[in-house]
This record gives sequence, structure tokens and C-alpha cells, in this order.
Amino acid sequence: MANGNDSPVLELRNVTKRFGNLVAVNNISFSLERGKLVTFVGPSGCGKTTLLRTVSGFAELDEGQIILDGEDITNMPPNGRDTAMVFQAYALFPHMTVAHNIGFGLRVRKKSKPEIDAEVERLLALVQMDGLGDRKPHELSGGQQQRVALARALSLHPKILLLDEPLSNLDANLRVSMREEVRKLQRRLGLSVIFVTHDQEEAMSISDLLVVMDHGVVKQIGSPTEIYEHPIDEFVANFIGHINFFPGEVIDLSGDEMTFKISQTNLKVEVPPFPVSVGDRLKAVVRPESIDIVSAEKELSDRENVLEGRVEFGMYIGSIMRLTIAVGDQTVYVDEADPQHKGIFEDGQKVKLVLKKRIHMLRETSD
Amino acid sequence: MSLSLQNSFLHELASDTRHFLRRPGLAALTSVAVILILLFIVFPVGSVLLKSFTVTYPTVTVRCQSKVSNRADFKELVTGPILGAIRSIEGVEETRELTDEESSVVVVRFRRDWDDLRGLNDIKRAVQKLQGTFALSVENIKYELGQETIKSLATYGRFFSKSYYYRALKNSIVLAIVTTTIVVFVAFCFAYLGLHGPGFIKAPLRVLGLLPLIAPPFIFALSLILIGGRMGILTRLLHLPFNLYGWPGVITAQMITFLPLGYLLIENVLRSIGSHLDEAASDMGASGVDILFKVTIPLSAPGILKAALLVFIMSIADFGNPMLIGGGVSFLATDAYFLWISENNLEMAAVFCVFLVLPSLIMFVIHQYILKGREYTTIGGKPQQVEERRISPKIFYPMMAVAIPVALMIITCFGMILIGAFTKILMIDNSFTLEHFQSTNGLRSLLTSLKFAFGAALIAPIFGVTLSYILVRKRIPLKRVVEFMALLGFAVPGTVMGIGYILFFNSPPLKLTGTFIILIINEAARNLSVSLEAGVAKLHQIDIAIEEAAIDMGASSFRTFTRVVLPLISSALAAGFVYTFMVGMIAVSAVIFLITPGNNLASLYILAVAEEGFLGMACAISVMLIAVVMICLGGLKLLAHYTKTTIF
Amino acid sequence: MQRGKRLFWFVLVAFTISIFMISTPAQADKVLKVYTNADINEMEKWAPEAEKAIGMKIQWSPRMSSNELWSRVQAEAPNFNADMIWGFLNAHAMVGTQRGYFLPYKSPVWADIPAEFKDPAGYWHGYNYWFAAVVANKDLLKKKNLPLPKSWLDLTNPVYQGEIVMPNPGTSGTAFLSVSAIMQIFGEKKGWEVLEKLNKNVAQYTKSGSAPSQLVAQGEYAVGISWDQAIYGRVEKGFPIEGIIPSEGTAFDLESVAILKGCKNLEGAQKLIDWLGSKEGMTFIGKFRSKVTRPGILGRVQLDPDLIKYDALWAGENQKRIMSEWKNRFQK
Repeated sequence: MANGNDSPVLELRNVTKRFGNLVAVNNISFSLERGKLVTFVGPSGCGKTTLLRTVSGFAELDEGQIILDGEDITNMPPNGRDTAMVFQAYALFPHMTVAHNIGFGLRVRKKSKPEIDAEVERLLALVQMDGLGDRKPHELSGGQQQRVALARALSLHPKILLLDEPLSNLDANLRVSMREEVRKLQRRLGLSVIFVTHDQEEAMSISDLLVVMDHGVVKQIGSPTEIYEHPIDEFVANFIGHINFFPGEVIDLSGDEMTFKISQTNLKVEVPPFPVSVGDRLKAVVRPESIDIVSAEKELSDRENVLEGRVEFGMYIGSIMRLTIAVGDQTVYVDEADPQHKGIFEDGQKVKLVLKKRIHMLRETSD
Repeated sequence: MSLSLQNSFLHELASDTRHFLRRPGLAALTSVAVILILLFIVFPVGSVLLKSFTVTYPTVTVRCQSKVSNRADFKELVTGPILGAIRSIEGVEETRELTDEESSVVVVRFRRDWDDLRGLNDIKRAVQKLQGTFALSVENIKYELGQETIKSLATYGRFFSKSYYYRALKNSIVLAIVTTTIVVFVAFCFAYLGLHGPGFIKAPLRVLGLLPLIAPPFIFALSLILIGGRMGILTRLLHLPFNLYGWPGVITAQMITFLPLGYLLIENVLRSIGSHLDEAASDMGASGVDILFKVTIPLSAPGILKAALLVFIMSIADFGNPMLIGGGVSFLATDAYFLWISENNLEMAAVFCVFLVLPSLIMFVIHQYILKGREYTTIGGKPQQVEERRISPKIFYPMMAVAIPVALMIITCFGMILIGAFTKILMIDNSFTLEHFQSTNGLRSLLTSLKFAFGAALIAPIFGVTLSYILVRKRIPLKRVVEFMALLGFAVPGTVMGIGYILFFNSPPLKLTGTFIILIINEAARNLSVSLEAGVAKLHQIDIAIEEAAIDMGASSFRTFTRVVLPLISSALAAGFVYTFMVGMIAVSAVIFLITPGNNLASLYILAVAEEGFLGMACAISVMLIAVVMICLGGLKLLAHYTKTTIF
Repeated sequence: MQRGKRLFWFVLVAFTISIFMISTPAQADKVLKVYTNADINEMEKWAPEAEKAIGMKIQWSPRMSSNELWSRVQAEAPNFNADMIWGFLNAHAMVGTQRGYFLPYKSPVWADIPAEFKDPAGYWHGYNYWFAAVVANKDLLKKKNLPLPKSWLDLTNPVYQGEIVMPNPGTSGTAFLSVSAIMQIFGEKKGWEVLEKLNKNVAQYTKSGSAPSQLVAQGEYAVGISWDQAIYGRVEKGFPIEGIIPSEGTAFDLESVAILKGCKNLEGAQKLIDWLGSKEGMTFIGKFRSKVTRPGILGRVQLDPDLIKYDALWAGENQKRIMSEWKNRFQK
């Protein structure tokens, strides 16, 4: 490889793609480190697939540049690019056997037959499909088709592997195990991967880096923890996981602490990492699982940051109990972990909610 | 193994039948449908088959009466000498004697191709010569002409012993193979460019690929005569030493005539190949040419093969083109007609029909049953905003080299018809004229054609779609057999259906020839399958749960059909209507056998006029016919738009 | 169904019914259905005139060649789809009479027309006669440097190879008349030899007897075999062609008319026969045809062609035999 290992394998510079009047991808820049898995995530229509297709070459850019491993591939046709894609519906050639599908790229490159056979064998083993080379795609299960598509994409040792919602056609259990496999494979082979999904859980679990997109623009780029814990705005917060918003006002600042007034009470919280002054309107962003819940009768040692409410509705999911709590006129979602041991709350029961001192704050947007 | 298979078949049949008989309404409706199918499709075709196994001989019957009481004397003195005299007459093949108390009857059978009038007069002369020599007085000698039909394979024997008969079979098959190959090739280029070509070429190719649909099937032959006939424009201007009559003309005309069929089918196949497969291949480094040959063509092969089989069937059944520009080359469909009109030789015509039906039926069975479900259905991802892939120049230019000349040819053909219609006599007197349009009979035949096409277009879809409902949704015994019989009308060439109708419907109580309604029924029967298939396709799209919901709400089966199913499949009805109307306006092959005074159709009138050499008038009526078709289609489209109905 | 869809189908059905209503004559019995071998352009003029004369509508068959007409009639027998035949070969009239296809009618109007032109029992009436002739395109002959043929034998000259168009005797009455004429002029054995040579020169056999005239007139072929009015009509229209009556003589056929059994409009059929035999009718037909059968009325051809004594009975007696021989020899 010509470039050093620390240079990014892929760089997008001010990439813009329009369909007629619709701006599908609006001035996006971003770079991917070698051997990392980045996920483009966002609601459908956010432009994530289009962005992926600009990398593979199926969508031509209107503006911007794409640099793959130091080489400008902006105007290169798809069949010249050193990328490989796994399609959402796998796009296996129905008239070819599994082995032929996997060996297609090698045949196009006019590799010798023994070479192709050996490589196909190796790839089949890699995706645990040994011995199924003679099957036709329609004789395979969804998961198997997925593996073949993956093996086919890997056959050309692409500089970057592009996965377009590859797991969305699988059922829930298979999806989870496949994504683990993909992640393991990626780590083992040190692949650079772009993964597109609309499933935030999938995105969180698989990625080194998340790119959250909406309406053709990047909302936030960061590691899963960053995105989850410090969403940049309401959209990101809402999109990734469940969330409670407590809009309020800063009424007192003292050193690291501030008093934040929400409808019912005053919260004592840490000052956020951006400058605030008294009178600022902010939104406290609290994940349901970071709220402690106890029954109303229970005496609490610390009386700070306690909200009182009533259980409206409880949903027992097994690992957690998801509770909908009415706090004044606000609805608060609380996930209670380990409900078997902590006890199950009944509908209508009075409860106390305890918030942490460290709470992620967002500036209230003008809209 | 076969025994158990047979048993399970019988078992299923029995259980289907029991189920069926428990539903009187369904049983009655189905029976009516089956009777109609048998009557108007199966029996006529069957009677052609039967006819091919017979030979008809002319006969002369001689009856003499005598007052003699002694029969032995009579036989010796009268019948004996008569028989003796008759046996030596030329052309006599067999004599039979039926003598009773009163009279003596001699039936004389002549050679198949002998003139009965000659036979009769020869016998009369022979008997007259004897008259004076009879020892007894013979009174009242009566002669009767008749015919005798005998079951025999002799007609098949003659078919294979004369090259001018079996050559037609060979020619028809060669023609069908050549035409099919060319049509598939050209249609593929049209369809591929129409889908993947640059924007400016797409719409024109689409229009040109479909345009020949609205034209009578032989006007391309007509305009090719104007262009490349012995006095055609090109032949004259370039002093070509050859002309288009014969093979080149028929093949070219058929290519244009059947291009829309090939185009529609192949375009459909290409469209069904998900773009993601192209992309996958491209992603794997395949070039445009690689994709075409390694992905697109192998993937569409079964679909293309199906299209090819249909073109084959159409080509072998084609009537108008070989008739006009065939230049004396024999083909089955036209020669069967000529055998009938020139010799009244229905037996040989029937044998021709058998050889016309056989390849068609084989292709049809392959198409319908063997290839069914063999197409690759590709699971599409969610619809993407897919950008047009730029077509590779290595594909674009060769395909354009095929498509452009054909496209120009189509334009030229239509242009020539237009020019021919307004020119006195092309290349001789090129002055403008409207006289070709002043054909009262032509105008009358246009009206008849309209009546005919609309009539058939109402019957075929209603019957076809109802039948599709029974076949798809109901449990009836021998379903596949019923379906096959209904589709037969399409698979069997028009010539065969025409001859079948004149054989089957010519005598009471089924004396229907000569009526107008038989024309309409024939056309509807021949096009039933299109409505049937449209209905089947549509019904497969509709979740059966919708009907179950209606029944669950307490609706009767009939009500469910009229209130729920019918509105949902009305687009199939409309598609059947439009299709039947269009082909009705340009029908030739079967109806040519069935028209009678007052029932002449425009398409046949054009053919007759062109055959007479009045090319200008043929062009003029063609122009009017095309105009009428376009106006009607436009009207339908408007009506559909106004009433918010989908038709095509 | 939704209202729109209902309206759609309603309009369609209503439209179809209305087309049927406007084009179907109200009184079906006042229609006379005829089969004819007359040309389209003749029939387009004859039928309206006859309609006026008999006061009924006439529906005529699609244009049929003589043998096509006869095949149809034979195939339909005994349940004919027309009321009468207006124009067919005399040979066929004789065969049909023997087979009992026709209804007799002794028209008073025909009383003073010579007996040779009608059946003694009234089964058929011959109202005009026409003859087979040769047509040549003068311009084309000059261009190709070919002599003008003068006789049947001239047509067998190899210089005309590929330049002659003639009708197919299998379908065309004209062609059959020509073939019979050659047979009757040269005798059967020599006749076949002549045809054998002629066949080598023929480029195309057409379905109808008129088509060769049209094709020669349009310059597709230099020489054709056709019938009188098909040729002379085009000569008058100014085509560069010439009609030639072969020097050996030519045969004529008596154009006949007969009422088919099961005729549904006997009155109309008889009226038509009356009109055809009448002075007016004959005069009218005389404007189109070479000779009519009523004495004293002239046809278009004033010259007296060299007609052989054509034996129509022989033709009727030998058509099938000659035709199958012809097919064996020439349809390889």
C-alpha cells in the first residue's frame, strides 16, 4: 500500500448529490480510518444509502470529491473502483451457483480456474458455507444468502467493504447473530467497512464510528458511547434509544453545579460543558435507564433530584420493566432493570424518581 | 409407481367432482362455460382433425325401374350390361349394385379428382347406347350426383408424396425459425436501448417498437411492395435486379409485424431483472459488455425463449404477409386457404391444418407448461432512486446499428402507406388524389369491422375473466384440461379455426356460417386466452383474504364476485377489451373463411383490393383503418381518464 | 363497482350496441345477398344501379375469383349463405344445375334472348360474355427490347422469360378459360406442350384474372394473360398497354346468374334476373362489358374478336382433371 497505515482509507470531501430538486446528500465531509467499521444511520430517506452509493459509484456526485486510499475516484465508474458492496436484497445472480456467484468478480478479472476455485473454497470456509458451492441461491436460507453475498464482496479484497442494510431481510434472532459475525470477521480481517442501517441498536452494537444523518446532512459523528450519551441535538437523542426531555431554566450557577428548574422541581446538576448563564433555557436529556425508581413510601436518604409521580402503565419485557410515569403533566419513561429482584410496580402506584447529578444538557432550540 | 400416481389422480378427481357437484351454481356456470369452449373452440378444431382422415369421392347413382317380376332376369338383362358399360368408363374406381324389388340401383364411384359432370355424362352416353339393346323395357332411368366420404389416410399419403404439399410445411417452419430469430434479436436491441439507452432515444424506440400493433398485419407487406416490389420506388430508382417478393419480403414484413410482440415481452423480462443485479456485477468489476453477456442475457434467457415461442406461433400462423408478398412461395397457412378456394379441397386443407397446428401446439405446450415458472424471479430491494447507468459504447453502437435501420424501416412503411393513399399510381402518375378514399364498399367494411371488433371485445373479456375466476379460485375437476381447451383458441392458427368453423357450423342445427355473429364468436374464441390470462394474473395479485373477508361478512359467492372481485379485476377486463378490439380491427386469417355478402371486414377488403393490384385504394383504406383504430383507442383512453378507470 | 368504472363499461356497451343499431338494416328480408366474381370496381357501380332497379339493398360477397366462388358454393352446399350468384363461369353453372344447386326461373323478360344464352329449364341465365386476351405494356416492351406477342404460341418464346404474369387456373376463371382455350385450339397433347413452355416464362401466378392487367398496367410485368374489360378499361384510362387477341383465336365465357336453393329473397332474385335481361339492364352492363346477350345492344367492344367455338360443357366436364394435371406439372 502506497499510503501509510495511519492515513484514512476513505475521505469524502464536500460531497453533494441531488435528485432533481431533492438534495439527497448535502455537502458531507468525513473520513474513515483503516480497519474501522463506520455506520451511516438515520431514518429512511435521510440519504445514508445514497451516500454509500456515491462511494460505490452508482450515484454520481454533483459536487465534492471521494478519495479512496489516496486516489481520487470521484469520476471512476463502479466497475473500476476498489470497493465491494453487499446489497440489501443480496443481489445474488439467480442463474449461477453459489460458487459461481462468489467467483464472478475473479472470472471477470480473468483469473485462472484453479486460482478461482481455491479462492472460492477459502471464501466459502470463511463464511462457514463449506460444501454448499453447488447450490443455487434460491435453495439457500436468507442467512446463507447473506453469507454468500458477503463472500462475493470479499472475493476481490476490496479496500473498503460497503454494506447496504445487509441484515434487514433477516429475522430478528438471525440478525443479531449475523451482526456479531460480521463484526468478528471485520475485526479478524482488519476490514474497512461502511455499514448502512436504520436500526439504531444494530448501529450501536456493531460500529467503531457512527454517522447520524438526517435530510441529507450529517447530524453527528462519533463513537457509539458519545452519540448515546452526548447527543448533539434532540434529533440525535431521539433517534438513538428512548429518551426523556425535561425543558427548564437555569436559575442559579455555583461553580460546577447549577440549579435547573423544571416544571415541578429544581434539579441540582453539573454545569454542562458549554457556557451557560442564569436565565438560559435548556433541555435536560435523560435516558430511561438512568432514572432510579422507588415506591413513594420509601424514605430516601438524599432528597435531591427527586420527582414524584404515578405509574400509568407498566410493560414487563423480562430483562427490564418499562414504566410510563405521569409526573405532573409530563410523561416520563423509566426502565427498571432487574425487575424480578426489585419488585414489580403496579399501574396507579405512586412512585419516586431519582435523577442523577450528571445530566446531558441541550440548548433549547428556537423552534 | 405409475399405478399409485394414477390412483392419486383418480382420487383427486373424484374428490374434486364431489366438491363441485355440491355447489349447483358453480356447477351450472362452469358447465355453460365448458360447453361454450367445447362448441366454439374444441369441436371445430376436432372436426378439422377428423376431416384430415377422410377422402371424398364423387359418385353417380343410376336408378332404373322395370315392370319385370323376375329379378334374376332383370339383373342379367339390365343391370349386368349397364355395369359392364360403366366399368369401362374412364375415371371409374368402384361400382356397387343395390337391387331391390322395384328397381336397380348402381352407385358408381369416380376418382377423387374426377369431374362429376363428366362422369355423369359419360354414364348417360353409355346407358343411352345400351338403351336399344335391352331385351326388356326399361323405364325411368334416373341419375343423381353425389359424394361418398371414406375414412382414409390417403390424404396424408398424398401430402408426403408431392413436394408442392410438404414443401409448404418445410417453408413455414424455416420461415418461423428465421423470423423468430430476427424478431428476438431486434426486439432485444429495442428493449435494451429503450430501458438503458440515453434519454433521447428511449421514447422514439418505445413508440416505434409498439406502433406496428395498430396496423393491419399485412400493411408492411403492402408498403414493402411499394418500396421494393417489381415497380417499387427503390427497385425503380436503383434499378435493382431483384425485388422483395418471396422470402426476403415475407421475412422483412413479418419482422416488422411481430416486433411489438417481441418487444413487449422482452422489455417486460428485462425490466423484471432488478437493477441491483447489474449493480452487483458492476461492483464486482464487470464491464457493460460483461454484464450484458454474463448477467442480463443468461437471466432473461427463459423469458426470451418464451417470447420466441410466441413469435414462432404467430409467424407460422401469419396469413396476410405471405399472401401479399409471398410471390408464389408456399406456406402452410396460405396454402391451406388456397386449397380450399381453388379446389374446394377441404381434406388436404385439413391435413395442412394438422401440420400447422402441430408445431404451434408443441411450442404452446412448452411455453405454457414446461417453461412456466422457470423465469428467475429476483427479490427486489426497496425501490431506490436508481440513477441511469451509462450504457457502454461497446453495446450502444452495435445495438443502434440494429435498431436504427429497423426503426427507419417502420417509419418508411407507415410513410409509404400514407403516400400511396394520396398518390394516383405511385411511380407512374405521382399526382395527388383523394379518389382512393372514395370506396363505398371500403367505408361500409370499416363500419362492419367496428361492429365486429367491438362485439368481440365485449364478449371475450367477460367470458375470459369469468373463466379465470373459476379456474383460479374455484375447485373444479379437470381444471388443467378446461384451461388448456380455453387457451387452444390462441394456440391454434387462425386458418385452422376458420376451416374448423366452416366444417363444424355449416349444417343444421348448428348452421351458423353466413351469420355475422359467427364472425364475432370466432374472434372472441380466438382471443379468449388473452383476457383469461389477464384475469389469472390479476387474480394472483389479489389477496384471497379480501374475498374471504367478503364471505365472512355474509356475502354470497355471486355477490362476492360482482361486488368485490369484479371491481378489483376490472383492469383485466379493460385490458382484454382493448386487446380484443385492436386485433379485431386487423383480423384476417380466420375470418377470411367466414365472411359472406354484407359482412366484409375492412382488413379483408384491403387484402382483396391489394391482391387485385389496387395498391392506392389498399393504402387509403389502411390509412382510414389505422385512423379509426387510433380514434377509438384515444376515445377509450379519454373515457377511461374521465371515469378514472385504468385500461392500459 | 365504483361509479367511474360502471360509467366506463356502460358507455362501452352502449356504444357497441349503437354501432350495431345504425349499421343493421331494419328490414332484413329486403336485402338480397349475392355471390359474385365481378371485380370490385365493377361491383361498386353495378350494385347501386341494381339496387335502384329492384328496390332492395344488395349485399355482395367479398371479391372472389371464379373458382373461389365456386369452392365456397360447393363447401356450403346445400346450405348456401347467399340468395343467388350474380356472375360466375358457365361451366360451373352447368355443373351446379346437374348437382341441383339452383332454383329454376323462367323469366318473361328473357323470352326474346337467344336460347344458347340460357338454360332451357331456367336454372341459369347468361347476361354477358367475355373473353380471355393477352395484355402487353408497350413502354416496357420497348425498354426491354421485346417484340409484341401476337399469338398464344408467341407467349412461349423464351425471350419473355420472367416477363409474363398470368392468373392461377386453380383460382381464376380467366386462367381456366385460357387453359381450356389452349386445350381446345391445340388439342390436349399439344396443349400441354404449349403450357409447359409458357410456364417457363411466367414470373407470377395471381389469384384473380384481373390482377395481371393491373400489374402490367403498372409496369410490374411486360406481358399478361387477362380478360377483355380488365384490359380495355385500363387502355381507356390511359395506361400504356395494349390488348391482344391471340391470332389462334380465344375462348369466351358466358357470364351467368342463378338462384341458389334456399334463397331467402326469391322476389329480389327474380327481379334482378329480370333487370339483367331487360334492355336497361343489358345497356347498363354493356357499358362495362364487351358483349351482352340481348340482341341489338352493344357492349364496349365493337370489334368482332376471333372467338373459337368454345365448348363450355367440355370445360365443366374436365376442369378437375385438367387442374390436377396442371398442378402435377407446374406446381413443383
